[in-house]
Amino acid sequence: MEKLDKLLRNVQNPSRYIGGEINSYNKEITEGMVRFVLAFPDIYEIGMSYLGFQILYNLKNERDDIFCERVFSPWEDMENELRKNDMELFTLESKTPLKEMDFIGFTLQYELSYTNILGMLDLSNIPFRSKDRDDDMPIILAGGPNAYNPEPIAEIIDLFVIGEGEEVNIELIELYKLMKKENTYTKKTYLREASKIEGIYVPSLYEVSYNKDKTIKEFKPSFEDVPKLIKKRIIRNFDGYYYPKKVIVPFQDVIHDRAMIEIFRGCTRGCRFCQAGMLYRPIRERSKEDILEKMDTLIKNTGFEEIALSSLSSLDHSEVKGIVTDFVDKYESKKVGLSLPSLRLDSFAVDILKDIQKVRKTGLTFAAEAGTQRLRDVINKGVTEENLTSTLSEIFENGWKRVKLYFMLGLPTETYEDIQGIADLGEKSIEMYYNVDKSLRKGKPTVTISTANFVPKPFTPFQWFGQDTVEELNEKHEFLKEKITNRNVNYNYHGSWESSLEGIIARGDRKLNEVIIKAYEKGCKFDAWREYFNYDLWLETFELLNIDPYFYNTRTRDYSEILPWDHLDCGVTKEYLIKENEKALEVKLTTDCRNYCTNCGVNKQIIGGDCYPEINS
Amino acid sequence: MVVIVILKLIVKYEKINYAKYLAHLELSGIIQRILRRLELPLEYSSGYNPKPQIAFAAPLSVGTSSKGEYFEVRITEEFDLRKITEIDPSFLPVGIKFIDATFSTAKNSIMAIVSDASYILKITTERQYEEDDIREKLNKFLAQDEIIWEKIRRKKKPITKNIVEFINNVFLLNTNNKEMIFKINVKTGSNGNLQPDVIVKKFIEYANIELSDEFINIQRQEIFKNVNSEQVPII
Ligand code: SF4
Repeated sequence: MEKLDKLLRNVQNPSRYIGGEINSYNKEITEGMVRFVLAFPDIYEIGMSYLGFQILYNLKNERDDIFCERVFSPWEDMENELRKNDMELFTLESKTPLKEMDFIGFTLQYELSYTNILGMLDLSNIPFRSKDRDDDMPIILAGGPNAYNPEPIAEIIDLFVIGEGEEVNIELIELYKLMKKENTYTKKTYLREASKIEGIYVPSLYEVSYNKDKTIKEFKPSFEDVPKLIKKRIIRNFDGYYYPKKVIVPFQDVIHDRAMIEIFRGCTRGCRFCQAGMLYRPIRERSKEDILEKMDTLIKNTGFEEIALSSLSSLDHSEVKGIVTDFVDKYESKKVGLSLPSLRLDSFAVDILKDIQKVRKTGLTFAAEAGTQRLRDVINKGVTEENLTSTLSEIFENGWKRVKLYFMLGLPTETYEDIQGIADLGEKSIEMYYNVDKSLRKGKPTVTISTANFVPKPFTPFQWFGQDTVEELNEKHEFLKEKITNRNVNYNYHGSWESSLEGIIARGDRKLNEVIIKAYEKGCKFDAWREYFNYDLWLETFELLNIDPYFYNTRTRDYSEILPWDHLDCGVTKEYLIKENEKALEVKLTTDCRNYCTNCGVNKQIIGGDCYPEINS
Repeated sequence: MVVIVILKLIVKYEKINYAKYLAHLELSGIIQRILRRLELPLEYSSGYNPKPQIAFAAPLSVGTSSKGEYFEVRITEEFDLRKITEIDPSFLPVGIKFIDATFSTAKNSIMAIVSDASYILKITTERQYEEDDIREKLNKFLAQDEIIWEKIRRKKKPITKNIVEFINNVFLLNTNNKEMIFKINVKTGSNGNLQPDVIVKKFIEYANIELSDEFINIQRQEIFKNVNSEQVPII
């Protein structure tokens, strides 16, 4: 402790590094215990707000033979302290250097965190590339949404978990224990065996060759017993399935300082820009009873004053109304509030919100995504102009005066008319506020318009689309800034340069490994943080290595091109994605899975049956 | 006339080990959740974001541990205090321990009654110093009429202050193993606020003591209130 004292007293927010939070684990290390560290390549406050992180932590720690710890990227002051004192990055729980772990499992939530992975390895004196790490080094795995394009870090990570990680995490550990016990463990034999587990991708067992035009010529396993196509893993029976009875109550102001209950996985809407909507199919709900029971347990075991209903589109749960009313009835007097992440604009939302605000009034964020009906139809966001306006006036009638409207810029087929539409919506919202009877209004309204730049992602109908250039995006921001004139409308937007790099990595191939490593060596880190992000340094790196960055983001691909992630199977077929892209260009809608099945492939590829047997039979 | 009785729960706790790195706001959030989890009859603030109302006796710097800290929180009715004193340790972060608890209807807030606090401070020195010698120097140091401390403030002129009047007493506990341990009692709260390490720093200067490490290890021992001119612990 004295040694760490020296470091901790010199850094800001030392509680990021100390562990010992309520519901965290600290175990006595015993013979044969598997040591796992969940690593999040960003700071504590960010990492601790991810649900998956908490699920995997508890799932493993509930077993006596596994000790699962946590580590986050140290902020620069801590990094300097570690280097100055010649110390390695340590786990929060037992303050052990990462090298002593059996497994290091990285969570991949966003592309701009990749240099931080290297930062954490660097501070642990662990070689960056898989091939440079011997049998004594921990196995380094990674999972999360970004694992669906693993190639840009395929030379760094030993194995990727594709899909939902709960079962497969345990299977990997079982295999490890077995090989250790039988004395057959070498890194090589382990990875080979692991590659046969469904949902596991071991990049070193595959070879890739390129065409003259730099596109992929062939991608194939190096051995016969290694699968050609890696199928994603899902939890089939989600209702009643494992959920932690307690979650860590974090220190610090974490982003989402509340308990979360995951009410379903998947989404039936089929928005064409949304990667999660495609990746997490099919929809699987927990029942109302299961959810309410788990909420009770979580509140009892954490003392949180708020609990969030988490999923991709929480109001789509078939019993959401009942869940909300039952919960509010029970917890209103105990002052436990409910929250819902961003909402669709429809009157059902307002109905539910009225219940929720009985305890705590939360801000409202609505995802409108695009400014005109035409463009909303292109992306298959089934929200109509009618929905938008009637919901907003209902909200204002019910006493809210602050709303946040969320849009994307740079969507396929977008014109300046669509961007004008965003400004118009802001203006219209204010008008609608003043149309509400004066007695129901409380002062001036605030409408915040927030735009993110569209980044085409793998496994979406727009995966072939050439992303807007930085200049195009900047022009759009300027245009919109000028068009928003009302003093009660705020506008904020994401930086174009960040989105550009995100776009490059999101659809990158194996050649990016050396770019990311070089960029880190040149000083790139915390790329998701404005104060650190250095686009020029990235461009310099690309130039140095003679790799064209725009090959990856602004180039429109052919349907026939072999994409870097084609060897992964998320269930949704390429034919379906092509069909959806074509329909987008023709401004044609695709219906919600709850109406009828449009055969995306998940039924055949992953579940071998219908998603909704009751509807489709 | 309606007399509104404010009922409060006062808890004595310790904050040691890594928990000493918890900042004030963080700890306040943690305590809120602990109390909610115990299902205590808390009095909530009104408004859009109802919160239990927690106050701490005296601020403690991040990195300073303490054996005697206090907070108070408003409640609506009394309950079995064993809920606090026999709390399951798994309800608390590592390093936080509830030691004692009581109810209070005092009108004054807990901050207002604090008068003094005691600390143990440890420094590590370059070489071993003679204990008698240091003790003598300490007595002379304390016998001065004036000990002037220049407080450096960000972007403002420094202020100078005579700290003698804030010092109740200073004892040298020992000087073993190139360490010196002091026990210091200073005025606190409404009586003024003097960080105890200021005294030690001034003494190091005065006695020409060479440190091997600039860091002064501080642990608060107790916070006192003044009852009939005597220091007594808050509860
Ligand atoms: S198989 Fe049909 S119902 Fe299932 S997710 Fe795909 S489109 Fe929807």
